[in-house]
Amino acid sequence: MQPSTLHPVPTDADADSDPDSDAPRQLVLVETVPAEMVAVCELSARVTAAVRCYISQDQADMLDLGLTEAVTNIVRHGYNGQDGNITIDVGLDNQRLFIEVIDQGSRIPEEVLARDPDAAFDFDPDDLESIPEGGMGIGLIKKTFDAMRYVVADGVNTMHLEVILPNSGS
Amino acid sequence: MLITRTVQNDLTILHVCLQRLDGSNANSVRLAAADYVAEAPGRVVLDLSDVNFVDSSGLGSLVALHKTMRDGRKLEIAGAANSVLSLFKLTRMDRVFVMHPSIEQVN
Repeated sequence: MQPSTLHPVPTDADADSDPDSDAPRQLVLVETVPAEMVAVCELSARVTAAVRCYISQDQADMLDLGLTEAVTNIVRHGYNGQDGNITIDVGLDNQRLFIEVIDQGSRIPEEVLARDPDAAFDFDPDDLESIPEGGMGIGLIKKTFDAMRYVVADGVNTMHLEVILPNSGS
Repeated sequence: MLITRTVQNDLTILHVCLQRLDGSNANSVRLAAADYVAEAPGRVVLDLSDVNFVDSSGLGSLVALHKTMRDGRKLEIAGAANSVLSLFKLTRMDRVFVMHPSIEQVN
């Protein structure tokens, strides 16, 4: 298993020093849908509605955006028209909301994961050719979540996303 | 219906009749608006007042429409919700389009 850490996330050492790290994780939602564009976009909206009571409106807006980018990316590039499923598993403890986006399509290439999240947005607004029409998804995922890891194991891709809860002290 | 058109002199207003503009409909919206944009003699304003969510696919469709504007004109956006404005700012696309708080404030 080779985790691709894109944003700083708590390490095992951090967890050992965090008295809250052993707090039980509460399951909020698990749902699997076919990797079809309408289904996954609706799923993102449903997940956002399900967690809205735990986070601020601004955080909910960012979560909806980032999660939609994640599942859209899987449909377009992971499965690329082939049949498959996407599972979203949402849980929380007293500090964070945890979202896992799981698929069995082609993995996100390392070079795409490693890109600077602002790279796609470094364009000249007066130069039409430089304004991107796509390629913004991974950058937006990185910018909209507090932490993100991408793990590939045994043909299963899991994107781990985190949102720090308001007033969690994190 | 994805788009409705209102023409006032040289101003063309395209109202997007969706709550979410995302990967499931972005291409359809682009295609529905393309002819209206091409035919417009003057300014073109996209009224997003009914839209409460746009993702990068939706934004990409707006950029594609913007790129079809001739004579140095810019596509104008009106009535973007806070969540939509956040996307424009995150992606720095607020520098690309002319942004109006509401359709009533388009002058």
